[in-house]
Amino acid sequence: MENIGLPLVLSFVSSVITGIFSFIVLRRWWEKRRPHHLAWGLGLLFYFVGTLSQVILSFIWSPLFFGLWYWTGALMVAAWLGQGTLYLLIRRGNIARNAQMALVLVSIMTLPWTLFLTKFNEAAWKPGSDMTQLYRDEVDADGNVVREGIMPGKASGTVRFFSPVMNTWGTVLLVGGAIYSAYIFRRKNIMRNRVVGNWLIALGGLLPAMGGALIRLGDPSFKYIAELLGAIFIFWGFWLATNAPEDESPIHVEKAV
Amino acid sequence: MNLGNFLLFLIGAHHWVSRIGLGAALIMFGIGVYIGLLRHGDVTRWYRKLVYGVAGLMVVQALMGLAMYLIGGRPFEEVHLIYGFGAALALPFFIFVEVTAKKRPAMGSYLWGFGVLAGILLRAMMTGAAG
Repeated sequence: MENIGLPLVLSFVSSVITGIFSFIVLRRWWEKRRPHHLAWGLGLLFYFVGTLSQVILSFIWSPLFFGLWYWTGALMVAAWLGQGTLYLLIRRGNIARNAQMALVLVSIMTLPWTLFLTKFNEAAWKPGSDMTQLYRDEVDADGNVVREGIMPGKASGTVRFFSPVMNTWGTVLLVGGAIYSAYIFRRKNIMRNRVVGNWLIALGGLLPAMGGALIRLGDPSFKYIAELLGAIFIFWGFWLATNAPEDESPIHVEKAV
Repeated sequence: MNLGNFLLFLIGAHHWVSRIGLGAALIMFGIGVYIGLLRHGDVTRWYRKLVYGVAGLMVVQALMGLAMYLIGGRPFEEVHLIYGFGAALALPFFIFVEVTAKKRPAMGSYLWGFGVLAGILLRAMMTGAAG
């Protein structure tokens, strides 16, 4: 029972909240069949799987849940949330659909790669630990391994190569989408809900990504609060953005110029 | 032909089909740039037939890889299997986007498709055979 602390409780609450949110967003997609609902719903579903895996990994070692924790958290969440924003903001041609196909392809290639072709060092796992501090080897300035992690420190040629690519892609879309919609709103003074919604989604996507920086500030529990707040902001943003009147979509703004 | 000879034949065929596939992907990408970006045209019937041809070639390539694996052959790096899986799936995804696109022209789908396919094939070649 010594594993149960504030970080674990916050992770558990995050997983319950993201589970409920993903269900609501995916149900909205099922009713309305809008692609941005599907992308955001999948982003939240991956968020749920990631936080749930973190809870499970606090108690037991499981290669399956560690693989899912890494695949969802490091590769999928930001990219799929960003994809939802891309659908909402770029309606010209088939750019968003093509980007989604590339994302689906990377997703289904990296899942078996993470689960079956990546070797995990079980000995590095400790009950009740923060996975972000254990997941890879810690190396010094000369490249010597100071502390062994669950995954190798070298990213080149491994599935970890995709992590900066996917996170940069997702974060650029989330933050860029928020800035772009703020610009459109300022020019035309419309779509206030969608602008505020996109800003909240961007903030919600950035908060968990800032987890590493928060740990360096001194208290790892900030990371878990950030994760929880991130989930709440994303859902709040989704709610505002999708309740904007459809006849005020960006494409009409562009045509009106 | 015994299994050993068959495996040698497959290794050679798999090697050459990957090079032909990469060349085809780059040529199709170039033609796509010309039709779609320079002439602002849509996907023509013959272009789509060629896309189906390259997609079919990638499926044949993946099946050869599967046959070699079943016989006992192994790639230099295991991740080659993932790239092979990706190469077989890449074009069908973008074919789906193009043929169901309501907004025309839709040549952009094949620019994405062949760009992604060329990248996957390049990585597949680097992980397929030692040396």
